[in-house]
Amino acid sequence: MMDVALRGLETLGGVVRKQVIGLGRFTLLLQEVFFWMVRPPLRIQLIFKQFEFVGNKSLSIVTLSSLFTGAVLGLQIGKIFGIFKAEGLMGAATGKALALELAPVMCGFIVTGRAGAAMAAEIATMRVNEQLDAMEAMGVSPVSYLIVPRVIASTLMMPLLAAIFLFLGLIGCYILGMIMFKVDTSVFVSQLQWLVWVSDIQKGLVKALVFGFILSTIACYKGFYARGGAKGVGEATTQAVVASLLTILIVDFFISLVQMRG
Amino acid sequence: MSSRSTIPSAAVNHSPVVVFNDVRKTFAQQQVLRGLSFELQRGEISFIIGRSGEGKSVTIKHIIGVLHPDSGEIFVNGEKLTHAPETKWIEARRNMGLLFQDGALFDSMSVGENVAFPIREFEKLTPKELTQRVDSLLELVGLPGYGNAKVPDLSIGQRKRVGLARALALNPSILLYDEPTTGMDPLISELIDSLIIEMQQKIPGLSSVVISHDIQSVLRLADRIFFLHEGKMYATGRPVDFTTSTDPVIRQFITGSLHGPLGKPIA
Repeated sequence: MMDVALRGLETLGGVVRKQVIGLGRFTLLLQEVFFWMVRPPLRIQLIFKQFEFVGNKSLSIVTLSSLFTGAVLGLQIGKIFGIFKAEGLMGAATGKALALELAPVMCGFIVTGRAGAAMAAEIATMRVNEQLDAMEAMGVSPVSYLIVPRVIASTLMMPLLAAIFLFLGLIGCYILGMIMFKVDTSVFVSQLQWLVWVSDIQKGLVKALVFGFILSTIACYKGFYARGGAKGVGEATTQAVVASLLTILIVDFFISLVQMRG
Repeated sequence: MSSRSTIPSAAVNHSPVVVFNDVRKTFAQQQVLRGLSFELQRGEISFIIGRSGEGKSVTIKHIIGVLHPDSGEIFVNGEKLTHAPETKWIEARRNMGLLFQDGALFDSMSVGENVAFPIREFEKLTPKELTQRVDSLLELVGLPGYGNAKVPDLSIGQRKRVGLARALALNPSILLYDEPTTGMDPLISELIDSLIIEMQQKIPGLSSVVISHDIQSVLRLADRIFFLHEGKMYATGRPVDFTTSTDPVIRQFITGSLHGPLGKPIA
């Protein structure tokens, strides 16, 4: 009995130790990221390359998913509001939900799945093939060369993607409202203006900014510390996606709390 | 000759390019370097040899400052860098070139971009000057016209040569080779050996440090051999000192015999 308890305690200790070491490493990497962000060289060309990778290449999937998310949200909300003969409010309700939550969170998920996973896989492959060691051996910091441009690009592109998501989500909702609920355009727009404030959009964009930073740092961290060949690359990619998605959800809750009190 | 002795060799009047003084390094309770001390002489081809897992690659990683010792001192080009800040190491690494086992080329870049990488990072050249420099480096390693080639399309020998061109890009004073002939057929091994000699002859003042298991290469190319055993420098000397040594450990390693104090390797 005692043995089992001890073994359990040992396992728990091992898990806690691993998590603490991981957190320490992540903190050190973050420190290095901030260090290289304000230190020359500022790699403009690489940052623009990442803007293109994170932003431009995510655009088609953001467009498609935002139109359908807006439409399905409008469908559900319109159906419920229809009970109270308040279909005209569907645009406003959808807009509020999109601006505050869905646009930043969904964009966070999309960019994590598309760009975050690719970042983790690419950096992990470079790690296991000694390419990061080679870079370091040449006197070039892999954090400065690989991670900082990705973090800057993801952090700055996410609000833009979230804004596009919001706009196209509303278009999706509007098209559905017109076709299925015969909502009048002027009612849709006036209710939207009445309920969705500029501050809501700002709050959503701040969230998107934070999520962009989170997903890119986690993805790069997992890739940077990958070990063990092809299996290690796969594990790093999976861990990067899972950790980013969970962190985005948890951080979203706390940011929402702060924003509500503010 | 007693174990852990220094084989007497002809004195060479060169200041050391790398000095290790009682360097110790432990990884997760495994002590790899146990008080390693040696001096690599300037302008020579130095071979670091020893059984697998004896810390040869760890030693090279300490020379370039990717790993740092738990204790002891490291001097590179006369400067003490043991616990120097990363910025100091970055500066020191500009003076060193490292050829990795499989070249460690960036596969997202072309051959030319790989070679240009360190030059772009540290020197301000016009595109024309950069192209000329890359072309001359590729020519130096016997790959003229390969600038636009893709890394995945290269053979292992070509990868090593591109890696060598990249390592030479900043005109280093120290060139490190991490097991350059491991896994190569005899012809490519011979080619790599001739490249090492050629670089040494073409670049004045270059100090080459080679990690190798290839005894034939070691005895043919080395100006000085450093034999690492049990985390310490077991013996240093000229090739002739090793071939004539009666030390049973050295004899067994040189002859590749299964019987002797080193024991049988675990396959």
